[in-house]
Amino acid sequence: MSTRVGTLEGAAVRADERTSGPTARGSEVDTAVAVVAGPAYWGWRPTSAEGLAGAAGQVTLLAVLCTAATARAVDTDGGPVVLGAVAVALATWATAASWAALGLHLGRTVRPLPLLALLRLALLVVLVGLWGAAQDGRVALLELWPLGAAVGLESSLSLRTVGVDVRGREALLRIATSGAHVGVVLGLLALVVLAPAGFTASTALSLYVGAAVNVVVAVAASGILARVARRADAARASGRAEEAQQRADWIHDEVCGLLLPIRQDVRSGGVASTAEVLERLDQLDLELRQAQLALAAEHHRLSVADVVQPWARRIRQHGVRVVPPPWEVAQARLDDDDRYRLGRVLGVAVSNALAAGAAASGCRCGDMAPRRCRSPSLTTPAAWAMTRSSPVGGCTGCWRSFTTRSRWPPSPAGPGSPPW
Amino acid sequence: MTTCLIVDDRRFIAEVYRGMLTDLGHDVVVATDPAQVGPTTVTDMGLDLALVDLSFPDHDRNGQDVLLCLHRQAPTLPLAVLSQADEPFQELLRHTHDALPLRALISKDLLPEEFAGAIATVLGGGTYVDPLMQMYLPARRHPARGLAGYRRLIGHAGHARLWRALATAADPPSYADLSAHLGTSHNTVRNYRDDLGMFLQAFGLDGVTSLVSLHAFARATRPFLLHAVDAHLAKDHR
Repeated sequence: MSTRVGTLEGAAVRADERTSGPTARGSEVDTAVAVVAGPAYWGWRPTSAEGLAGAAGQVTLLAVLCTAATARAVDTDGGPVVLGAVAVALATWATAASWAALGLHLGRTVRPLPLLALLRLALLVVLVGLWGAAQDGRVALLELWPLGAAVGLESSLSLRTVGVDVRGREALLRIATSGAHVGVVLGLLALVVLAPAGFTASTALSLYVGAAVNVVVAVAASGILARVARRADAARASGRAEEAQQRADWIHDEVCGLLLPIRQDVRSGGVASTAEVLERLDQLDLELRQAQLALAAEHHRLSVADVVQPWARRIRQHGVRVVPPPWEVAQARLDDDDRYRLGRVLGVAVSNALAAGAAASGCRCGDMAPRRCRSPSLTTPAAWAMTRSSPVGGCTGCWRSFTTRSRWPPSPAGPGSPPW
Repeated sequence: MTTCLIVDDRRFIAEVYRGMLTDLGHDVVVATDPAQVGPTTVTDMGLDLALVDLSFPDHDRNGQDVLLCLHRQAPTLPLAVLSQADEPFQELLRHTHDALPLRALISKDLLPEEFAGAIATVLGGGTYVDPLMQMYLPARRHPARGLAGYRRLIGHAGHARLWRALATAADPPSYADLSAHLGTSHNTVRNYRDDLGMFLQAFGLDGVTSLVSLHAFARATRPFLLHAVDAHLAKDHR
């Protein structure tokens, strides 16, 4: 098994802090135990394409095992399904499902690691034994290749989650030269020589070939999934490079393109006043911040504060005092629709507040107890020449934006108070 | 006459604030590299106030390093954050606000007259929080997340070493990376990860359980975390 790991770029560790590390052999055992424990133990969650591939592998395993076991049970004597065979088949399915569930989900909470690894290893052994029973006592490892594929797919997920890169050929070479492989071969030879009658050389050979096919299938499946994941990584990296190029183009076309006329107008005396230059710069600042937020929104949900701050800056540049929403409200995360809606409302509200000659402006959550506020809404009063109410699901209360012409802070009930 | 230190990697921005502070009658010292602020800066320059930007993308150290360095020299020195106060830096701002007794949080687009008022408030012994920054900060500092709270994120030397590796790694590391780097088994790293997640719960941060989220936290609090790591390991060595 390959144990390529990435470098920890920039990470610092002092020489006197380094503990005695695992030897190369110890590291291989460490990695093998990590694989047996399954990906869930390491924090893997099925959120990506590789997760789907892993789940698909498990489904394949179960489906093929179930079908094959049932078919064998039915065909055993050509007659109706035997009760014992059904029981064995059910036990096979239950064991397979337990093994998969522990590896992909429940293993997250099982401690300690050796217990989980032993449990899953035992389940795997039981599974092979039940399979043999379902095959009317025949040792039919060759037909167990779907199990090999499932183990390989899951191993790939485990290795990727732990951070070990898998290369198929190297893994096969390592397995072929491993002590475990030599032990299996010697064990089979010893059985042929020493075991009672019935365990012939052909039995040993069929066992060996069956196991070898399963290992090859497992390594192949693991390698294929690892290759798919590497390609996905490369595609993501390529996407990031493309995105960087688009941003560079955007800075060139939009930012520089917007700055150029301002500079030319200032040089040629085409602007009436400093105030006009400031206004155009403020507009540019707003557009840049909104573009920045649009890019950020592609990666994570933005908060109320994120959406409010470009408009708060804009209104503040006009000497209007800003009354921000409190942190508890401002940190509410918005989905795309609410973000767009809040931005639109703030855009209109700020324009109107500026046109109305506001002295102070803000938006406030009218009801701070989210449980009491069943239908959160954003409203702007008629004083802003706009009456509108629209739901803002991410907010935790009723929103109102307000403006006042009086000095800030206004008296609670006096003229110019916020309209609530 | 008071002496103010401005630390900002954009020289033209630092010069704008130098001009405003000079007009207000203060002496001003400008540093454009966090490394220019050393362990004796406060006494060497006779500082009365420091205004520090948080983000220094082209440097190894950032504003948190500078603020911590100044705070350790003179715990009563008024410290002010001078920042863009927008989406990319809110985590950095929040952790800095919790860890250090900042006296002012000032957005860079504060109007000159309001800036003058903020400086007067701080030098008069008060505090000033820019309304734009208020949105990114709770009304009160989190009681568990002060500078001393970082020591409770470390149970033993293994945790300290893991925090150091996380805080100084450029990209989120894997178990294999950390295992090779620290010379421990994958499972030891996994167990330490669980421990750190529990410590962070007590620190007031839920759901920081994956290596990626631990790395993000460690990067956003690097100077405070490494301060605690160094203190812990120094105690262990003694």
